[in-house]
Amino acid sequence: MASNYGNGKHENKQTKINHSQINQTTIKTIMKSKLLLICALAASSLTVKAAVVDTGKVVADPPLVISGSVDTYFKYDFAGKKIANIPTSFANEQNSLSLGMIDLGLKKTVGKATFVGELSFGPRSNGAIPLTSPSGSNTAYNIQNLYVSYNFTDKFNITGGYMATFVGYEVISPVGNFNYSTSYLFTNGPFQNAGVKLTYAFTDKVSLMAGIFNDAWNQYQSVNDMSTFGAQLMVAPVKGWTAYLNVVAGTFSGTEFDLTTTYQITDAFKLGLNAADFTAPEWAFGATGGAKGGFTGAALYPQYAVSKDVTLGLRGEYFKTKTGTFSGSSLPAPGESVTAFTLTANVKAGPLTFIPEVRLDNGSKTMFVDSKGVATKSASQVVVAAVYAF
Amino acid sequence: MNKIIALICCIALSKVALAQKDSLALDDRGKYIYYKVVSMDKYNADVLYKRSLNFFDIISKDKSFKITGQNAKTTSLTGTGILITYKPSLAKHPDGKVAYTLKMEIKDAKYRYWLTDFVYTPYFRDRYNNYVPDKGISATMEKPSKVLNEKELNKYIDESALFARQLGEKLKKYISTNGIVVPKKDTVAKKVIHIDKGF
Repeated sequence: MASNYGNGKHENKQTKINHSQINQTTIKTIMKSKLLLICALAASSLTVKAAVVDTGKVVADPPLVISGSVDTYFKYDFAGKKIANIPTSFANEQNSLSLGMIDLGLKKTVGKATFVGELSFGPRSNGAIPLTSPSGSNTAYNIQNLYVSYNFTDKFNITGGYMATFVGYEVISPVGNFNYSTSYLFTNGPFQNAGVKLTYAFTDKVSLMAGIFNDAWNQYQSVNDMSTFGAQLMVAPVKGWTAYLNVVAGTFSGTEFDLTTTYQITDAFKLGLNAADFTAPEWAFGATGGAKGGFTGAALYPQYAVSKDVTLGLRGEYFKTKTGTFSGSSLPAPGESVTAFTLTANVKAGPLTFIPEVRLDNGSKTMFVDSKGVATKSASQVVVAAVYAF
Repeated sequence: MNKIIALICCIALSKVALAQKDSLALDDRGKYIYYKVVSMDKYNADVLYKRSLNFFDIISKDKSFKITGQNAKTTSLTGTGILITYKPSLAKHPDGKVAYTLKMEIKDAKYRYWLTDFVYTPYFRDRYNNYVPDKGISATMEKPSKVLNEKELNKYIDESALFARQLGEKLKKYISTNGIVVPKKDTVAKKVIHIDKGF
């Protein structure tokens, strides 16, 4: 440091000083003075910066929006060992400090045109099918959103690309969910849909979306064609209450009717509801003589903000697999049901949210195993997650 | 050297003081307000009114402002608007909006305006990676409730005051030039900025 000062331009201004006479104290004094000067100049420049005023528009064009999140969690299933009973998406690694995903999103709007690109990496991302990358190789990353949109008018918009599904209450990104574990309705519904949709806003309180989507949910490309129809009616009857009536229908992926609604009843209390009915496509999931069945269910999400930074919430869900031949690893056997209660807290510390939760699932018949590996009707787990959003 | 440093510190501090001079104040209703009286000796009320109306018509085009009332007889107008607030972070994105009401009264050679009824609404990131208002959650600046803590409240008060001042400056500039800006020859392609020296 001292030699830097000695070699600096300021040395030329001090040529009259006899260097041999400069003792340590003098050097320290000069250093302090110069440091103070630098600090003062820095403070001054910051002040000037803060007062710079753009004389352009009153409201500037939206900047390039960069956002994302990182999440990690610990889960313990009370069955112990490495048993992970509850089959819903994500947070399913037992007795382990595990990774969620890193999510990176970009958005830019210029005039009436907008693009969004959002990529994710990590186990949670891999759990969000498709299981292969766009090139068909092993999963290295997933695209959460990749679309462009154009506003024909203030009320009429067209959007095309690969988008988070419009169906359901919960989403893949942990930032968008209150609970860290996910519901059966979410796990068994669509995650994403690729297609083109038109949205018309009649008023601030009513809008309608209709679109044509690829036949296969959660895939970057269609299997055969774009034969899935999707529509969403949004109504906002009173301030704070928004309801979405959704339908996604096609012979390839099946038909789901969905109601998703939230009502911010007071500043502190919010109530959410998700109800859905799914009818499986006949060919579905390896069923030989044609699959019949589907699922139906509902979940209630009451949440209460204890303070600005602490919110408590409960998810109570009833989920039933319809009788028939439609089945899967993440839902009860045909004709059976499961009731799940999840008590969750969101504790915010700036951009970081701690999410401790306790969950109890109870099947109509045995669908889990206990610590001895014996079939049982119920399962319980605790999860502590940390989600950082930026 | 010490005297120079002291001088620089004084200048820096005075700049801070100047920059913070225009802030929101509380009016007799206990509501935050930004109030300004501006002298415009050259113009009568009619000219000031028409030019002000033109200015607010122009800024209404980007949907951040809406004229809600105008009266040529009393040469007054009212409007509502919003300012978008951003998170101070490397990853820049909106974190909320502050809605306000503007009222303006015009007389010969002067006008006054004030911004008040500030209401903050937080944004959240939706499933399509858009930042959108959290419907149903909002807080007035006077009663931030469980929506804002003190630090955030102060941030939005400062941002609202800065916005109000900038809006006032642009209005004044528009009125005095009637919206005609003559670009300098050597700065045609450049973005024009100036250093705000405070009021």
